[in-house]
Amino acid sequence: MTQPGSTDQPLAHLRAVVFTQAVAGAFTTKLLADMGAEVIQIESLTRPDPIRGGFPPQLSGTYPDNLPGDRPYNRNANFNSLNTNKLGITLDLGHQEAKEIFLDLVRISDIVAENFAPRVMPNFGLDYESLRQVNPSVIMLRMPAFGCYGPYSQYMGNGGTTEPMSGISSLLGYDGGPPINSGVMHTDPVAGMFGFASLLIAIHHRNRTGEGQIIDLSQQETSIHLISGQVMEFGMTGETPSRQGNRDRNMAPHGNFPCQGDDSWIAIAVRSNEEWRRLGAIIGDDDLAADPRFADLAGRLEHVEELERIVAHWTRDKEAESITTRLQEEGIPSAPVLKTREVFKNPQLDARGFFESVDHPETGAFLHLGAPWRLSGIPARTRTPAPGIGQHSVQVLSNLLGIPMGEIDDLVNKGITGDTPNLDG
Amino acid sequence: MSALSDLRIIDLSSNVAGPLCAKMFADFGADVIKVESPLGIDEARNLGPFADEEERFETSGMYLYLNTNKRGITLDLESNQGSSLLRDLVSTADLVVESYPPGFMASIGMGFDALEEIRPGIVLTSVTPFGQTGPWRDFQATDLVEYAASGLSYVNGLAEKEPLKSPGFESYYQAGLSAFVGSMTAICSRDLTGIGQHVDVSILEAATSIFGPQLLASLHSGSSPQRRSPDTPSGMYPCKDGYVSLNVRHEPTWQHMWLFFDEPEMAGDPRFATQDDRRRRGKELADLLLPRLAKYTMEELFHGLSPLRILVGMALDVPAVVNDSHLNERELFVKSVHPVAGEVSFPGAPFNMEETPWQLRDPAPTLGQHNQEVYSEVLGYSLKEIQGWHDQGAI
Repeated sequence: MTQPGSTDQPLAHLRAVVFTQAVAGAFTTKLLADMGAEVIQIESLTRPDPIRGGFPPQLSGTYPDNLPGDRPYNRNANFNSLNTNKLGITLDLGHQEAKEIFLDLVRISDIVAENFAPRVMPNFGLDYESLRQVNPSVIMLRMPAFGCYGPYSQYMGNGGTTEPMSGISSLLGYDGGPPINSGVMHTDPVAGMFGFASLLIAIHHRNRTGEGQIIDLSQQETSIHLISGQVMEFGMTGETPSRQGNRDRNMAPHGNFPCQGDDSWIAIAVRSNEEWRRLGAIIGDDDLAADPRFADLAGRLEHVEELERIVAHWTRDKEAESITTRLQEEGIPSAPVLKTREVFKNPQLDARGFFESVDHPETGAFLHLGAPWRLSGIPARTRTPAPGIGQHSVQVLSNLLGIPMGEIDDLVNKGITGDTPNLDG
Repeated sequence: MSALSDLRIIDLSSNVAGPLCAKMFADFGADVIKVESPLGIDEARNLGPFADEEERFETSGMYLYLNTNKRGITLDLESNQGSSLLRDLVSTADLVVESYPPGFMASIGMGFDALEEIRPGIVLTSVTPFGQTGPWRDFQATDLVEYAASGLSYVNGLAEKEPLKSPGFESYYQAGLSAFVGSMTAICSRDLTGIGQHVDVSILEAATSIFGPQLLASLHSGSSPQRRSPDTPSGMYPCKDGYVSLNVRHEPTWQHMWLFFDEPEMAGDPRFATQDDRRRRGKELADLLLPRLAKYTMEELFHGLSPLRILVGMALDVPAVVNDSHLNERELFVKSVHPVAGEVSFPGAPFNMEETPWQLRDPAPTLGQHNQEVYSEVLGYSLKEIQGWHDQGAI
C-alpha cells in the first residue's frame, strides 16, 4: 500500500487513528504524521471534517482559483494544508460494524486523538476504558476547546472563542480602544503544538513502562499560557493589565512604523540604551543619539510619543526592506511587516526550504509548511498530499485489517464507508 | 511517576523560547540543570513583572514561570575551567539546549560534533531567531520582529491603524514548544538507533507555522487577507457589560440564535439567506444584532448561546480569567513559594496527563542555588575544588 508512514522518519514505528478536525487537532496529528507516524484520519460521510468547507450551496472553503469544483471538500485549502502526510478513511460510527472496525484499528494502533466536544466519544460507547479493553497500552489525546471536565466543558469553541476566553483579546488592541478578536485563529496551532508535545511525553512513558494513558488538553488553557506574564502581573500588582498597542515596558521604541508604499510598515524594537544610540545616529544625528530625554529606558518610555513620532518621521518616506538591512547592519532588531503573500518570498524561509511543494490530484501542486524544527540527520518531508474524503478507506480496511472486498462493498452500500459524502445525511 | 525522569538536560538557553523547551522537560520530571554565566545572566530575569522592585534580578515573573523545577548553576563557558566542567556535565546528559548566536557553540569548542564526541547519541537543540543557516541567520529579533516577518502582524489589528503583534511572547512560545517536540523526536530516534541529532529551531519558522493554515489558503485563492475592517470593528460585539465574539454565519446556528432572541421569523430575512450573505453584509448584520445583544451580559450570552452550539466567547480580562470558575475547578493556576519572590501564582499544567501529571516540585532556582549540589553530588568534585572555582570566577 502507499505508505505515508515513512521508514526513515523518527516516528515511523507509530500508528495513530484519529478524529482530529478543524485546526488545532488536525495540526497536532499533522506534526505527528510529518515525523513519520502513520496517521489514519477518520471522518463520517454524513459529517465530514467541517474544515473541508461543506457542500453547495453553503460552501465556506478556500478553493484554488476560487473554483470549488465537483468535489469541493477535496479541494479546500484549509483542509488540505492541515492534513498532509495522513491517510483518510470514512466510518459512520452510528453503525455497530463501524465501531468494531474502529476498535480493530485501535487494537493495532499506538495513539487515538480527537477534538470533539467531550460528550461525543462516550456517546458512541468509545470512551477510554473501552479502547483500553482492546489495547491496554493505547494513548488517547482528547483536546476539546474547554477540556474534558468543568462547567464549560460541553461548550463548543475554536480559535475565535479561545482567544477572548483566554484573556488574549482583552490585551490585544490600541491604547483606549476596544478589545480585538484577531480573527487569525492563532491560538489553534499553538494548542496543536502543545498536543503533539503531550503525545511525545506519553510515548516516552509508554516506551519505559508499557503503560498508556489518557490526556485532557483544554485549548483555553494552552492559550492562557501565552499570557502567563500578564497573569503574574495581576497577581503581583492587583492591577488589570491593559491594551497598549505594540508598546512594551522593557523596550522603546517598540512598534510597527509606517513606510513608503501602500500599508507598508517596519517593525523596530530597541532593547538597550546602546541600540538606541545606534538607531539615533542612523535616523538623526549625534544630537538625537545624545538627547538626554532618550538616554535610558525610563526616559524613552516617559517620552514615548515624541520618540515614536521621530522614528515614524524617519521611516515614512523609506522602503521597509532597505531600512531593515540598514538597521540590521547595526544589530538593531527589525523586519518588514510582510503582507500575507510576501511571506512566501521571504529570502530566509526560502533559503531554508521551509515551504515544500506537493502535488494533489484534485488541486494540482501547492506549497505546504515544513515542521518548524530540523533534525540534522533526518530531513522531514511533506511526502503525500492531504487525503480526499475516504480516499484510503478500501486500502486501510483491506490491507491493514484484512476485510474481504465483498464485505467492504457491503459497507460502502450501507453508507458506512466510501469516498462519496452523503449530502442527505 | 514522572514521564521524563530518566533524562538529564543541560539548559544553556536564555530569554523565553529555549527556557520554555527545557521547562517542559523539567515539569514532566527530567533533571534539568540550568547554566547561567556569572557575567551574563538569563535575559528573562529582566523581563518582569517583578514581585519585588528591589530584588528585580531574582523576582522576575517570566523567569520564575519559565524555570520551574530546574536546578540552577553558574559557569563561565568561556573560561578553561568552565569549559572543562561543561564537558563533565555533557558527558552525563541526554540533551543540551542553547540559544546562543549561530556559531557560538562551535567557537567555544562545543559544537554538535564536539558534543557528540564527548557523549555519543547526545541531542543538541539550538533555538535562534532565524535558524542556523540562511541569509538572516545573524539578524537580530524580538517577538515583535518575528511576528512582523511571519505575516501575522499584517492581518492583526484594525485597518488604517498600525498592525499589532499578539500580547505576550507567542512566537517564542511556539518556538520553545517546537524545540521541545523536536528534541523529544530526536530522543525517540536515539532510543531506537543510538544516533543523536542537532535540532535546529528557527523562531521565524515557528511563528510562520502559527499563521500557516491561513497563509496557504491565501496562496490557493489568490486572496490577500487584511486587518479588521470598520464593518466589524474589533471582531467583537459590545453587549451589556463587555464584549463577546460571536459566529452565527453557519446553519443551523443562524436559526438557533434567533430562537434565543425569541424572534424565529428573523432567521428568514432574505438579506441574510446564505452564509456568504452574512459574511458580506457584516455591517448590516452588526446593526441588526447590536441592540439585541445590548440587553444581555457576557455571561448570559455565553451560557445562553453555547448550549445551542453557537460559537461565542466572552472577552475576559486578566482578573476574570484568574477568577473564572471553570478554570478554578480545573485547577489551572498554581502557586510556587520562592525564597526571594515569595508566593507567586501562574498557569500550571498545559495539559492533564492521567498517569504522569504535570508537577510543580520546586520554584525557579536563584542564581547559582545548586552549584554545590550539582558539582559535588552529580560530578563528584570536592567542596574545596568548588570553592576554588568560585574564587577564580569560573562559577
